[in-house]
Amino acid sequence: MTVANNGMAMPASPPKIDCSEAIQDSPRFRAQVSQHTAYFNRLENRLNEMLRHISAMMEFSKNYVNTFYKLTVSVNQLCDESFSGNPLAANTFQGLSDAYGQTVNLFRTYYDHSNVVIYTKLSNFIKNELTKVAESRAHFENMSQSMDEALVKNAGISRQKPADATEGRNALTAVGTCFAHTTLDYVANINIAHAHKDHMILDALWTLVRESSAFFSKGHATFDEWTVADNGAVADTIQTFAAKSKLIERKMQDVHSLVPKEMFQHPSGMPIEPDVMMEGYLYKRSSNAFKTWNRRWFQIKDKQLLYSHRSSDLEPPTVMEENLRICLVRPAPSNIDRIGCFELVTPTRIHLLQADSESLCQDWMRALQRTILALHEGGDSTDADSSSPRNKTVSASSNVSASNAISPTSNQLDITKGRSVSDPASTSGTSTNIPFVASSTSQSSSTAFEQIRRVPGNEVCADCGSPAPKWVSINLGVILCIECSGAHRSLGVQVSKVRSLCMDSIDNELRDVLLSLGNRQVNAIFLAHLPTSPDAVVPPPINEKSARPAREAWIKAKYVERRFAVSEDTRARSSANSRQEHLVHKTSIEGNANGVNRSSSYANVQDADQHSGLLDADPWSADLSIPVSPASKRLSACGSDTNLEAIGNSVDAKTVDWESIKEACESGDLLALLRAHAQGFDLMALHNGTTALHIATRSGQTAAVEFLLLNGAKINMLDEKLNTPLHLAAREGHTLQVCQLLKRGADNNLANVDSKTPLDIAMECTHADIVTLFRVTIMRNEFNADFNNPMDETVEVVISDIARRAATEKEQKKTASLKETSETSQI
Amino acid sequence: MGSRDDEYDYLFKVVLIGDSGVGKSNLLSRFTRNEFNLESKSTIGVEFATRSISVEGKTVKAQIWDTAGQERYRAITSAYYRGAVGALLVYDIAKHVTYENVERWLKELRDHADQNIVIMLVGNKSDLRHLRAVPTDEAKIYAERNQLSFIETSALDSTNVEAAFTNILTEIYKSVSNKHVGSDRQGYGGGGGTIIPAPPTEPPKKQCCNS
Repeated sequence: MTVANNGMAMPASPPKIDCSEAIQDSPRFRAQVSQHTAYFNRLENRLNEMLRHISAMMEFSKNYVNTFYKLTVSVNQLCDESFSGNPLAANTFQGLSDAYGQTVNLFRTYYDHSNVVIYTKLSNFIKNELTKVAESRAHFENMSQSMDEALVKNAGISRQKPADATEGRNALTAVGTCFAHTTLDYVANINIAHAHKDHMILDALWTLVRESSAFFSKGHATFDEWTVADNGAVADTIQTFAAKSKLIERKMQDVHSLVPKEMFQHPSGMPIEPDVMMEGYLYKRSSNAFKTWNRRWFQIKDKQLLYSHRSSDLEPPTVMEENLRICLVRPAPSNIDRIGCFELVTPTRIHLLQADSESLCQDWMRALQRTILALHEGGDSTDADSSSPRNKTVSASSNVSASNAISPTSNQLDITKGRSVSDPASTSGTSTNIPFVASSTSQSSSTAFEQIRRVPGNEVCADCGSPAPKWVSINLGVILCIECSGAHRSLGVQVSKVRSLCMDSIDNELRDVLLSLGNRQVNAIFLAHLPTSPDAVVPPPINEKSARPAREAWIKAKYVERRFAVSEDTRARSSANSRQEHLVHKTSIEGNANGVNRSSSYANVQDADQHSGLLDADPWSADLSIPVSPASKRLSACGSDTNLEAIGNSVDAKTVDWESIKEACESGDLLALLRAHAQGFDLMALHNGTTALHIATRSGQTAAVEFLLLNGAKINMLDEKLNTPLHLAAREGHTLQVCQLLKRGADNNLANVDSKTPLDIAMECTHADIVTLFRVTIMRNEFNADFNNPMDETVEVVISDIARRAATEKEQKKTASLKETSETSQI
Repeated sequence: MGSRDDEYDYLFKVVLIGDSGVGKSNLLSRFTRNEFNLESKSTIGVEFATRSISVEGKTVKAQIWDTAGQERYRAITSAYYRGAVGALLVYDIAKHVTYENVERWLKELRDHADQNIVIMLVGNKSDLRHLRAVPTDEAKIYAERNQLSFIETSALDSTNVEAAFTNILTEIYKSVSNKHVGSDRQGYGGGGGTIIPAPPTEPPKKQCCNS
């Protein structure tokens, strides 16, 4: 009936086979059998078709479930990525994604199960029943053939052969019986198959319905549960958000009112970072020949003027001016044919900047001017600690009115303050190796100032004890009040090099030196042998109120005579020695002056090293190839028997010390170096063919190198192989040392005993950064005679780039090795 | 190096870029010292050389920067391009991959160099005729499309080396002098900078490309 519409009358179920007809193998039987065969073929075809559909469904459902699962995963990711900031939305998301997960699982069990079961059942039916029918049919055909043959044979037997006839009959009987049985088997199988097909196929089909029903009721239960648990929360949440979005939509309609009436006339908005005074876009004229105007985002931050590219968040802003204190702002000269231009004048160059309008230009100039003013007032103010951090106030006032960005009456000093600087040095107090807090040059010097102030003892003047000192003797490492700094200045720079902590820039090397020393520790050295009874101290110690002459006397006794740094007897002995050395010095200079006619580097050294120790052992004065020990050199140069003993003693005494100096240089122990220096040890002398500066350089001790340079070490000092410190730094690949030495004006053109310059050595060792540093310096020297050397800034940029990178690498290496050691120690 | 050239009117910084081994250093040495070294090793760090030529009666001093083409020396990328007014983008006509990488170098220039930088595409090693892998016309068309000047050179037999540098320096000179005629003070803010502005009457003495 179902197929009646395709025009062909579908044969009804074939008639039942009569067993007696089967035994007769009548034509009717044969016809019935063929009907049945056709029926089963049709059935099998149909069933196979169904199986194909089912397996396709299995495939699709598998895909469906997998894709659904992927969707669920995406939903979870969406939640994590985009809604984690909103707890309400995130919660709702959680609930929904759980529901998704459950749905997927339901689908998965349903599909996995139902299709497989119906498929198995149907295919089993085909395999077991239909195959059996087909097999017995084949058997039947065979037997039928054998039967025919037997009949033919039997029919052909001659009458004359009764024996044959008997045999034939018997055979025919046997075959006939067998055929009958086979036929009946076949009929039986057909009938069984007919009987089985009904319940088996129905059962198979019913399985799917059962599974589906189970799936839906399970799904129903699950979602009932879910709905109860949810209790309308999702709907509520969605409604809440929808309401909110309406609100926002409405608000956004008003957003255009934010557009200022006069675009580009005033700064829009206030800086987000608390220590940024003002920020915004300016055009800056590039310094190259094209004079391209580039739009950059500028910020006045602390005492710096920074700028950055609009597109790049990755790179830290470039520092246009490190210290605005020493800058000047003024309108651009009239011949600049652009609107809203102003100049920032620094000691070395002029930056030409352009704002988007004249009024914005005024705002920028005012902001810069106020910053500069504030920096000056901050530097002069004496009560640096009195006011509280006040960054917010600054921002707030700038918010009120752009032209009032910095209230000039408020205490501008705090521009540099109020930021928390984590500095281990401030708490570690007694350690001699105060950690180098940061090697990154980007740290502003105000931070350095803060760090230095927190070194123990630095809260008061090292000499008179006045509070809040703002001056520093960079070679002695003590912080001073302005009165005492004056007294220090009067001693001359060979004794004390005075700088302002606020107004002079303190670079990283210098900062490291100052962090390693500090008032408490330096006083412990210079006042080590202060007599215990106050009356015995001559001249008397000074205090805040002491007059200038008293200060000068005390400071002279403390640092020049070093009266309290060594015990009384030692002092007496060493002064005798120094007198003798002076004698030796003179002799040796005279000795050298004649026979030596070396390259310009010699003259260099000779001016540079007016120093007994080095000249005593001047390797050029005798055989160049033989290293000369200081002692023997002294003896030969001196040539006087009377002095022999005393000199010998002094040399011995110093050789003992030398080991500790060497160690101090290697480990960067500045206090040990200062102590030796205070006790009259000659830090600059050549010992065992090398000098303290060479050792410190070789060991990569930046602060020690800096300390030695500050305390009279000559930067181009030679060791016995005529290596300058720069040679050693180049060989060791100490990029930071090379930067430091070049910055301090080291000559990179001197050849050592192998006639190699530092550049040659760096080339040999393929230290690319160092090669670059040398080459760029050499290039600068080529332009040296030019007024305004065009290479100056390039060299500066290259050195600072390379130094920054080297410092970062060193820092990383240090942390890595620290980690490593801590790991191994844990094991 | 070391000896100072005579006075110059303009100082232009020109950078050499391109893949490793295309002959940048030999172009430099051929132009500045008339030397060529077949065995030259990879450049370590950054190298410089200068040479002055005359352009339209003015002395133009070229300060040429050269560095290793490998990725590994990228330490001073920003300083390398800073202030550069010209770039010779060199490839090897016998190595197609060096030509393919031109695109990458152009991107680097766009990222780091001044937008007005004059770029010249240089197909070096033109003496290797039998090994040519990059057809002249293809490179020429590419250069036109990207608004670069184009030349093929051979540092080995000196072909066009002089012309390459002269052309780019002339182009820079024209670009610079056109741009700034009468626009503002010349020589001011151009070089190391000065806080004493030159009197407006003083003729421009030095126009420096970098600082």
